[in-house]
Amino acid sequence: MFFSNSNFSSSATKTFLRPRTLGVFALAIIGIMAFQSYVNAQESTPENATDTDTQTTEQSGEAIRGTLLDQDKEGKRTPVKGVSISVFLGDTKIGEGKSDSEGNWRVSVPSAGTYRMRLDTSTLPTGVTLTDPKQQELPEVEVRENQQKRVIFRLGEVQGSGISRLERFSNLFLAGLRLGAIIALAGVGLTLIFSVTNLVNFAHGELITLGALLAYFFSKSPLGPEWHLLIAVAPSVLLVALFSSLTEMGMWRPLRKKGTSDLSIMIISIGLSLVLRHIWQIIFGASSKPFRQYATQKAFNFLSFTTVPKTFWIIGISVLILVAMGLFLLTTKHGTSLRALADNPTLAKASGINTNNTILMAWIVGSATTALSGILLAATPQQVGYSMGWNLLLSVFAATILGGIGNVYGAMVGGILIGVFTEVSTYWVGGDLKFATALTIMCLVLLFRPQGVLGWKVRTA
Amino acid sequence: MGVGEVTINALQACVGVGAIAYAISGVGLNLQFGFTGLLNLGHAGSMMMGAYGTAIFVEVTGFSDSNLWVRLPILGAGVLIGILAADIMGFILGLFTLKLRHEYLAIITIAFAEILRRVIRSKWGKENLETGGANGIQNFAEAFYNISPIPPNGHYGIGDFTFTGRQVWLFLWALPTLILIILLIRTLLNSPWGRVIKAIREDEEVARSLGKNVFLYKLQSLCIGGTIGAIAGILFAFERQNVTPDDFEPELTFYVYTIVILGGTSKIWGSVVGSIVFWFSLIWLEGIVKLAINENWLWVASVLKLNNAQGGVIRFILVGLTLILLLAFRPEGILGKKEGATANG
Repeated sequence: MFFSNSNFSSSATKTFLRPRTLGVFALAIIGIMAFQSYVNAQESTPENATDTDTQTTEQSGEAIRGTLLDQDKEGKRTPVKGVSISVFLGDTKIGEGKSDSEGNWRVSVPSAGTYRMRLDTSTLPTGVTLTDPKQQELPEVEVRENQQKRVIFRLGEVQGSGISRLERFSNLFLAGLRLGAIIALAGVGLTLIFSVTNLVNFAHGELITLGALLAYFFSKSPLGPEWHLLIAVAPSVLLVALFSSLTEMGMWRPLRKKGTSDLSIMIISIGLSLVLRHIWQIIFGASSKPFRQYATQKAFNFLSFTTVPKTFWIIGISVLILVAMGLFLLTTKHGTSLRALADNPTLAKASGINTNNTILMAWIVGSATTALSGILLAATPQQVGYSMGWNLLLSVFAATILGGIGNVYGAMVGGILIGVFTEVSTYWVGGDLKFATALTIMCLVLLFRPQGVLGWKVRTA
Repeated sequence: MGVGEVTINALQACVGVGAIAYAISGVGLNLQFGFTGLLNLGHAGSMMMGAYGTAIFVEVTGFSDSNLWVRLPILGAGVLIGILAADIMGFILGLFTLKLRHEYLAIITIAFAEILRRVIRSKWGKENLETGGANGIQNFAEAFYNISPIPPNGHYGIGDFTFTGRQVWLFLWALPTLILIILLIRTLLNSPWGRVIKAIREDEEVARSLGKNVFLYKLQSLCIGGTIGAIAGILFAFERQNVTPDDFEPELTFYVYTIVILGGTSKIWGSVVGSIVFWFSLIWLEGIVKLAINENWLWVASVLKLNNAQGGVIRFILVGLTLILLLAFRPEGILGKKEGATANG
């Protein structure tokens, strides 16, 4: 297993080249990419069947028009011909139109005003039905002056329409597990570094982003080598580990030596986060981009889940790394010195543990899992973006707080909990409130159980 | 555009209402962070509550009324409601966090402000709380400008250094507000209450052993700081006649921190000095960078392939660098003395 190599810190590079390690990473990357299509289905707002959009053209005179397209289960659309659509003003029929071979229809109306419309379902070809039978009649269609009003009658299947409550819930739960696994990986990194340095690192999100940016550089950027994403993971993770070792040696260590307080160091990390995030923005640009591989996969059904293979790979890889991390901490010498330093720094020093090296190791291991979480996150519809890590940071904090800051196992549990809360909450509340809901739950947990879900450390002032 | 114009822009920014609003906000934060030692990262939330409390109240009650003498008292009441909203927020936040260690306090406060911001930004907030969603609320303070005795379209100043009549009118309110707040806080800090607050910052146990209710004092400090933050937020909103949730992202809090630390933590006038220096340097450097890109000085644009939008990002990098360098090398700020530095408290 990757982190259980007891010579880890002295032979990080060698470790990465070992077949087993490569295997783990190969798995990681294979898993990275699978669910664009699933999420697209999840996240596209189901359009209202009466959805009407307005459009003004040079053509003079008011009219109502539209295109009739029948949508099948795979989302493929075919035009429907010969369907009759009538327009009424009050009870008087003022016009009728038939769809042509491309599905287009048009009814002229005498002036601007509000009309009633009716689609004659008996003229629909066999096998074609309205998505929502209620849309057969639209009581109020408003036409403005000189407007060619577009009205959509939706026919056939609508994505998501056939999903039962159980299926919807299961899919949200799965998406939550996926997000949770990613948060847990990042949270473990954050909390491991905190446990030995007492640094609440606000620049942790930028490490998440850096992992994804580097993987993007190695696998997709025209400036890079354009490797397969699976191969790009290893150098990306290594470079992030190297980057954080440099910040530790060049910045955090001198600051600690100087006796700068934890509070000041925390604010310094806020400054670092601002600097790095906007450097990423200058380099990468402001828009998000997907990876080249695994960006879209075909969805499949499994029990009540509908998802793409990469969802399971992301969860699997994260769990694997988390277990490896647990074993590393519990069974290896380096893991023991990390735990010793976290528990009681004075005693650890007295028993001959080299503090600086142990802290450096925490940075290397912690930022490696964090970088991997960034790559996994970028394989989700989140894609690669300069602020992806910053946007996740509060969730990562919430996860570590739920588990008790400094408690690695707590961060794992907390991450899964926060991820599931975040996604499942959209079953009840709007998607724009999901992070707010997860953060609220964190606040409530802290109110009633200030030591966190798994915590036992005293953390009151 | 030349260096002269950039300099004038920077000068206008550092004495304008925006800078005053930041200075006021800084005074509030300084009370919490500098004097009481609370690392409150949700200060933008207090400012947001002030701005939105006012704007929503005006929108819901008297927005469309044409009579100025109806709209004006409503705006006044709105300001009070905004301040009250921030107070309630500070109170709830205090109950949640004040017994926790400082890293928990920092994370919960930033999370709390984000929760509020996202609720305000959401569709739910738009439909149920009249927040206007991501677009926010516009032109709610028109009544304030309607009573202005200064012709709004005139320009006042010397040469290119001019302000519009509206800016001058708001400035005439903002400056006395700032001075009043500073004098009040100074009186407060020199009172027995202020001495207890500082004692808590230095050593909580000592304050507790003297029979002081540390929790209560911290809560009071949080609420008073929040009130001042709300006033700053309202001023901010009046200046722009526009509140949107994205104005109150955590970056706003970080800006105010930079101003407080730059001026000198636990120096009352620090925020004022900090705000002036911060805005002058920020706008000036940003202007110079954009100028360098536009005119391709030293080939920055062609070699580094920078464009103007990327030049705008420079601002955040500058703020971040300032925070890092200040705390690493001069944590006492501009006004502070070495031994008086409390950022290390």
